[in-house]
Amino acid sequence: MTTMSKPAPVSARSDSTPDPMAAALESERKRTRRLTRRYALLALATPTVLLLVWQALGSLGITDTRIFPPPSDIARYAVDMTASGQLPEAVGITVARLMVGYVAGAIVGIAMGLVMGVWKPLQAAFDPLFSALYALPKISILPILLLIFGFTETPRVLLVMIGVFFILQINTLAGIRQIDPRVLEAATAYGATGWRLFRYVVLPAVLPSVFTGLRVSAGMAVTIITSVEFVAADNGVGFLIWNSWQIFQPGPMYVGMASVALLGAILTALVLGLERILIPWRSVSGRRFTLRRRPRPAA
Amino acid sequence: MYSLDARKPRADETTSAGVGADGPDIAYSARDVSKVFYAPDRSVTALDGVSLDVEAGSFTCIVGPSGCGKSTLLRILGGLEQATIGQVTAPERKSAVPVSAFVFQEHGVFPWFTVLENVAFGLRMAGFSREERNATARTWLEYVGLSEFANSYPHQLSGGMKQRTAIARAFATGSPCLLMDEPLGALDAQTRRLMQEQLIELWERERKTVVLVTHAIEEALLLGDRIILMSARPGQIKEDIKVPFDHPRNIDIESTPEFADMKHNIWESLRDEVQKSVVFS
Ligand SMILES: Nc1ncnc2c1ncn2[C@@H]1O[C@H](COP(=O)(O)OP(=O)(O)O)[C@@H](O)[C@H]1O
Ligand SMILES: [Mg+2]
Repeated sequence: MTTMSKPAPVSARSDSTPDPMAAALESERKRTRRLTRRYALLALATPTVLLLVWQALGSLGITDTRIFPPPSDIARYAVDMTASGQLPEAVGITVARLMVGYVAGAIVGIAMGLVMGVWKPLQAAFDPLFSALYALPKISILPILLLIFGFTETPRVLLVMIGVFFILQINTLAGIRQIDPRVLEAATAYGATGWRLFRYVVLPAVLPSVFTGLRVSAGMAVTIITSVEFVAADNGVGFLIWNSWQIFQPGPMYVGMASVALLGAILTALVLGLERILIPWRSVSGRRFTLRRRPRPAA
Repeated sequence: MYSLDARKPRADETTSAGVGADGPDIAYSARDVSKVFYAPDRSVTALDGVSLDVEAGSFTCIVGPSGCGKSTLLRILGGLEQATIGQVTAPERKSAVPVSAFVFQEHGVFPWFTVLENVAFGLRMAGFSREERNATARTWLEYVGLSEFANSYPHQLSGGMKQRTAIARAFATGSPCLLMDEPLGALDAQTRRLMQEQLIELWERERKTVVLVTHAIEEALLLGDRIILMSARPGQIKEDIKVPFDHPRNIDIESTPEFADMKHNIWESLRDEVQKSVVFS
């Protein structure tokens, strides 16, 4: 892996010598590729090592396998639970609640943020209230929702929606507030007013803030739906985790935890992918940060 | 050569000063314009009784110490800002294209549009079809040397290239008047030089009405037919200087004794004002 084709020395001037610029570019490309591969490997190595240690500690009898079943057991549980349909069912139910709440909360939150951003009276009327409510732990209003809607899907989805709503409303509004007035002036000068100002200037300008909100709220939504299912559902992954604890079955509990973690990761990745597609103008910073005094010479 | 009617000079603009039978054709006119910015703690008088007529087809440069209200005056002429008191008239709008195309001091290009989309923005807002506006935008990109970067986003460009994008947009929009606020201020010396030459060339070809704010006396002498010298805040017109150099103009005029003389005199006149603005702010 360390043997690399070195660029031909510039002093050699025979006709067969490759263009030094092309060689330098090629070696820089190789270096970038090698670093990318190395970092990907490291990212995989950390959890792998931790799992191996966990496994070893169990096999050596150092940890209590009744509380910390080794990863191999957990994997076997996962396979069994998948085969029996128990896991897919729980995941399906949770994903449905999560997505309905997330998408609805995001749409309403973005819309509210936009309307508040362009219409000052609404902003004046709701901004202080929303800011105050934002700090309230969302799970604390679950009992009220249960009182109102009973033990149904509505309070579960609604709580996710409320959590996502606040984050998006606040991020969208902040995005509008942060629009450079000089950019707005330039747009106005070139004839963009009303709907077109909104469509071609305000909307693209707030998009990065909206995506910050979507990313933050993805993790939040998974947290909320899991907590809700702990106490106010008799199905779903949250219920699976909680119930496994109550009947003292650590295996399924760990499977549930892993599923929830995976859900959060997938949702965040989806948001990131969408962001890449929708915000092609975002600058990807070119220079790598390094503590080394000078960048290493190419190759 | 270009497909857009709006970009062809009007018949009455083809002579350099646009002098008709009944005197010069006035594009912008400001009468006793004052501007106060109100703030809860402190109000700022940016302009104090400014009167100015800008002839159609002329190139006017505004020079003055920083903070004297040059940008404010330009915005008021272009209708982006309201005068607190006084009257302003601008040319009548004859098509969907705005009368005044701006080049802003900074932050005028949209980060979410490509260079081509930025240059075509004014035409897009004026309702031109995609083919029409892109064709015109490409012509102007070629002219300012940015063809290769048509599909780049502004963050991939240098400061000078962004500014050239902004200039290309102003010309591409096809407005009869251009209002430029220190368009070359952020450029390095060499790029600036090149852009000055290009501006002379563009203007000589298009003969649009141009009002250009600059803090560089040489630039004003090089580009303008007329220099408006402003006093320190509150901005007033201190001097109104006619620049005697003929068109077509060449950057070589900088080495003439006449140029050096004028530059010296303008600086003498400006020095007190700059001192005032430094002392009081
Ligand atoms: N939107 C604004 N609000 C308050 N003060 C302003 C505003 N715009 C300009 N000013 C003030 O008006 C004065 C003139 O500003 P400006 O026209 O930008 O000066 P110049 O372009 O000559 O440097 C400055 O003192 C500036 O602080
Ligand atoms: Mg200014």
